Amino acid sequence: MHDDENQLVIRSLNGDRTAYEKLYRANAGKVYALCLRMCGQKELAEDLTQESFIRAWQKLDSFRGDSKFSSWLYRLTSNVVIGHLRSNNKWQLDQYNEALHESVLAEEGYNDSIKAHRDDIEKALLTLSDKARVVLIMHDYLGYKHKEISEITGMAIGTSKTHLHRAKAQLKAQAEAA
Amino acid sequence: MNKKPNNTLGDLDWDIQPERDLWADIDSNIRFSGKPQRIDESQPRNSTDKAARKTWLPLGVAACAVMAVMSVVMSGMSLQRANQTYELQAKMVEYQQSHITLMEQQHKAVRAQFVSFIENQSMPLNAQAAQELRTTLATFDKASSQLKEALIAQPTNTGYAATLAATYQQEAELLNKIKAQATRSI
Repeated sequence: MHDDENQLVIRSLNGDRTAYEKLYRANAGKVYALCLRMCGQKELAEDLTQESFIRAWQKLDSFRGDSKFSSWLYRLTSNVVIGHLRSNNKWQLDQYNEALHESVLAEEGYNDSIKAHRDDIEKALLTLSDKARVVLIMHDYLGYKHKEISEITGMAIGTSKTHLHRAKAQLKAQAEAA
Repeated sequence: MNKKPNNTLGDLDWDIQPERDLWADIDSNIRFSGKPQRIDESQPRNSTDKAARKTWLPLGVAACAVMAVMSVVMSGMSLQRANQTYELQAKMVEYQQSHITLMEQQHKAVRAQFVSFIENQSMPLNAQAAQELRTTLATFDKASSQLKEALIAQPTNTGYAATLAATYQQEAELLNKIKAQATRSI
């Protein structure tokens, strides 16, 4: 798969959009899920997924093949989502996000596939502040170290650790309460 | 991902297809967006810039080489991984070069056909039109020459290759227009 991906990347670098579509089809679900979990809103997640793939096309020459394409793409996607959160000033809010939680649950047409998996973890995730949710996903799902999270988000390493600690504590508390 | 999920997040579904197909919008965007940063870089520079580039290029290449070696050592990257990276880059360069060779062959053929067409015309171009054509073709030659120089310096730069293709395309379209006008006036 890695070799296939590299071939598709090389063809894409030479302007082959058919090859890039294959990369999109292989990764769209994972990129969309990441966007959805990080931002918490279906339509916004679709926009950010689009933006991520457009940005990836434009920056494809910076992919050197020393990691999997999907890993490079996730890092770029994280940057796109964080950039959006920052530009909307929500990034500055360091509080649990009850309003977002309620709005997401009340949203009509919320993705059916999400509903199927919308268990206590999912609900608890949506109540976290943007920063805490982003740090938790980057650390525990994407496997980034606090130093890398600090480089990508611009927050101090200690702040990243604090957000992770708080996020885990809140998830645990919600799980126990459920 | 650097490591596997190690807590409850891993229980969630991390592969969710969006409700609507986003590819059409992405495709229409990238079709025309190209690689803007590359296009900017490929604009012709003045002679001072050129001289500076010639002076700094060897130093830049040397610095990049040192950085590459340092990053390989510091990250503890395995030799196999480094080889894979090198192979991918080598393949990219090879693919790019064959693509450019094809473009150049096609360009030469277009020029030759045009020259042959002009030579076989019963009514040659007037002096002013011929001069304008020579000036225009010289501009195209200068632009393509600069782009080829830039490609030698940065063989994996697809932006330069795309701009070179666009330059050849513009020239071919111009020559076709002239041929069409000449054919109509006969």
